[in-house]
Amino acid sequence: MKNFVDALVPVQQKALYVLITSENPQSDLERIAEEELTMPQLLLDDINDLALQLMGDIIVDVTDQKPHILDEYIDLLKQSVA
Amino acid sequence: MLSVKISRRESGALMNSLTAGVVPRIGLRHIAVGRQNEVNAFLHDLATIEDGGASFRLVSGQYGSGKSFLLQMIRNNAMERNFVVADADLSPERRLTGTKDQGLATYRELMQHLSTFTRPEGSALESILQKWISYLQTSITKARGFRPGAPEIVDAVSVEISEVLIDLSGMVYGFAFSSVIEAYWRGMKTGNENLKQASLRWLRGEFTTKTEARQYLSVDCIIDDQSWYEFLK
Repeated sequence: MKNFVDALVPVQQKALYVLITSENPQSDLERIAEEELTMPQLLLDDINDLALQLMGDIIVDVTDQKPHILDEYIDLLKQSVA
Repeated sequence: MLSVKISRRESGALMNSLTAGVVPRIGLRHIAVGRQNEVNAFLHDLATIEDGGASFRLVSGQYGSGKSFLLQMIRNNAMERNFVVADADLSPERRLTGTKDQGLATYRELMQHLSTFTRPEGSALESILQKWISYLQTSITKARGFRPGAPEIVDAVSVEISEVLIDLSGMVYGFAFSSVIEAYWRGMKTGNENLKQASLRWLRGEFTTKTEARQYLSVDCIIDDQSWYEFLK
């Protein structure tokens, strides 16, 4: 998990932090995406793409209206970004 | 002995599907065996499509012989190769043609099942849309020297969307399609969630009347039994 977090670029790390800490991350994700000239859904796709490559699974559930970290990974992720 | 860790998401999907007697849509690589010749044939088709070609195959077999399983294997293989994949099961309610929304139901199913490598369970429409618009946004911002977040970007990208999609104006419903994409972008960037959601609903074929669609969007048509194939193109 640590390798995964380290491999994220800064904008992805910001987005991941918002996903970990916020219950309603949409507006923050939009702000972060705007600052970096990208789009919120692309940020989430890029994070999941890297997670698939390094860990063989996605970590952000994007099927919901509210994107969130999958329960399976939330504790590990919190430890890795602490 | 080599142990394989299967994620909770995949193992849950596998167990639920196998218990219900249906083919799982994700995690197939953990349970698939054989079928190498068939898979290779389809991989050859995917290579043809990557080169700009097209392919059409009919697969026949007895009940329980693994047609659906093979289809899902191909679907998973295609996503791993960065294809956008859409699939739908036809039924009396979902047909290629119909006058009582059966054709539209097929279109809706395809849109709901629109999948990519990072969204293998469907609902990838918005992500695909954002990817395309993001490309335009980056090009125009660099070309005109806008700073990120500059208000001028909204109008500039709107114009760019219309100009790029003008080629579609020759197609039936091309103008409506273009204006809905532009409405999605405008809704997203101006915080108008209703406009954004209405654009997505329109693209997913969820408006049932033109009147309802016109309450939110400047369009004179909706996706229906007569037009769904045009929109798919």
